[in-house]
Amino acid sequence: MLPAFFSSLSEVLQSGPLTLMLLGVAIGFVVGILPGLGGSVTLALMLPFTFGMQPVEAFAFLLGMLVVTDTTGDITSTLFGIPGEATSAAVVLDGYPMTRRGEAGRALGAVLFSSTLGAWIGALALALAVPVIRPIVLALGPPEFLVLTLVGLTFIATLSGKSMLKGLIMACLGLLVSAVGIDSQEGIPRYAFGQLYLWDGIDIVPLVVGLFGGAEVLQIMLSRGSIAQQEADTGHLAGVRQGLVDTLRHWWLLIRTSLIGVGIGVVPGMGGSVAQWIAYGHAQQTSKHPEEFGKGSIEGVIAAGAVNNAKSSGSLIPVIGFGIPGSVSTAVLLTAFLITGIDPGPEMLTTHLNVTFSMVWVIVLANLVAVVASFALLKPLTRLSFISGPLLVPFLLLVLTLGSFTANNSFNDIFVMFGASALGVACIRWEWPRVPFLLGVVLGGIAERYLFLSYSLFGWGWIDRPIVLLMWAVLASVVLAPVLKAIRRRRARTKTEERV
Amino acid sequence: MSGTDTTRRSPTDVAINVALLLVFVFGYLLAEDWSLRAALFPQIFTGVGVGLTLLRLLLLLRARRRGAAGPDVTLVDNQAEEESEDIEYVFSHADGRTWLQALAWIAVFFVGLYLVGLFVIVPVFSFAYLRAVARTRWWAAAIYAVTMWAVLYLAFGVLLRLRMPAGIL
Repeated sequence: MLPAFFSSLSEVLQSGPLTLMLLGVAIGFVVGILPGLGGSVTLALMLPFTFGMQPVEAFAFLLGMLVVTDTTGDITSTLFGIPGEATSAAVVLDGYPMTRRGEAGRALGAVLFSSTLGAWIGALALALAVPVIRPIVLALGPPEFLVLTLVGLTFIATLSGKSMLKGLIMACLGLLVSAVGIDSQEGIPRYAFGQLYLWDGIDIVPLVVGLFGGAEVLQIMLSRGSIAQQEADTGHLAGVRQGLVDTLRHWWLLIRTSLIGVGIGVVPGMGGSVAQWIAYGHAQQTSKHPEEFGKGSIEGVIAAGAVNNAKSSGSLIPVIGFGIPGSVSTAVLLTAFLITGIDPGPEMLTTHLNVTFSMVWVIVLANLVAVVASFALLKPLTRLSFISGPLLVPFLLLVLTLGSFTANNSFNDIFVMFGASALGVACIRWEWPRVPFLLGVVLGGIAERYLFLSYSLFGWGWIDRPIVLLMWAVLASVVLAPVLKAIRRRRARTKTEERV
Repeated sequence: MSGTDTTRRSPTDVAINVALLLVFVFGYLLAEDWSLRAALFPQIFTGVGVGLTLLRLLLLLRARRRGAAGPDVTLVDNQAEEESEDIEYVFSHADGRTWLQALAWIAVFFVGLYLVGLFVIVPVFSFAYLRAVARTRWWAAAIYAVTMWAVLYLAFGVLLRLRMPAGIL
């Protein structure tokens, strides 16, 4: 297997695949920075260009582009508070507050370095996992996937701002939105109110763009200042170096969150939107300074950056091994297998092993190129945050509009983005968390699908399957741990007051 | 328990809770007309939503009766604050005139988009907004507007071949 591993590197380094990879990296770099124009949309647009390419060339181009959007999406999230990608939303929570207090360089250094190291850890995991993952994934059924989804939802509690109840209510609202559209079981239009547009459900892209981006644009319009409000150390490379040192200092967090990314990425349908919040929640729960999360915690930035890229490698594992896409992007990528005449599955571990390992090398090399380019352009990128706010407004409105519209080429998506923006502003104004709502929307369809599959296969007996029971225990601990902690703290406070 | 949730006992918070309660009740009742398989999942989470909003409403009202020193309505002390205080501050402290102006500009952009499409509204809006709000010189605003149009046309239209929203006119 080792000879195949190294010979695939020489294949990737040949002029054809290398040029195409660099072209893909360049496109991915720009697309990642532009908010809303997602990697999956661009991947779909570029897919027709892979006709006639050799498999290694096609994947060097497409995968090079895809993995770089994850990395550079973090730049927009950090500098503007607008997620370049839906999967970069968690970076906003801490990266943007750091920018606003004048630590853009440090935040970018940390997020880009952790993204790259996360990608490399993910690539290593991909190389090691391919031969062994098959029996593990086959051991899990829909009930286990359902409870895994619910565990993802319960992490909402750790992300729900100042009140767990508010977080849970927003999650239910998100689930309600996810139910809009034709029911896949019976074909009944649910919550469509006679509108044909709603039969397809509400697209996640305009929702994310509006929920996070719309509110930021309005804030810039209201404050009329630059995005960064302090002139501290931004623009200075010392800040970047500090970010690199911070990343290395939190090496154990980096490895843990990268492995979470790989693990969640492996689960079909869970995708990066879920992985980032789980990793972020884990980082907060295990941090010595959880109170800093959401206010510019460097640990939050590192966790969100690392998980983002690691999950891309993880999501390739079920695609390569079983032809099961783990996310929208890998679903599009799966089409490239068909275009290049390759059947995902055992062939990828035998006759096309070189293609599989070439993917590993593309992830490693593309991220290296992207991060070097990002650091080279970091100073001008960092200075972007000091541009006068009103100067940015027309451009940001343009990308918000395009990002929403290009999802389905429908004007209705712009209305959705508009509505999501209003919801996002209301959430901020009256302190209701947006993240649980988004997670509810993302997970709703997945959870319902697994629920019906579980019931169809096992009746209600799926609830007490051994692995499911174990996952229930994890779920209960996630919910109960903060409640018990709060009760203990209140008792301690009462005792202190009595003493006083 | 959290001691910083400044909105938790405000009338607005009660109103939001009531509105969400009505949304969940409405969602639950709508689902009653569907078959069991189509209604099961929506009824589970709308039912949970009704329970949670009712619980929070009761806690809110109890806290209001007891006054400011009453028990918190939060179940846990969660350290994560999703939003930075700056953005909360801007939204809560911007005066009515500033809000009205910002919303008016957004309305101009989107009504213009609907009427004349992206290719026209982007340069027009850019020029007008920069002149009126950023107080940019007319030639700088014009260069910005033309650049925006060129980026839109070349990068998104020609290179990426994206379809642009066209106006109804």
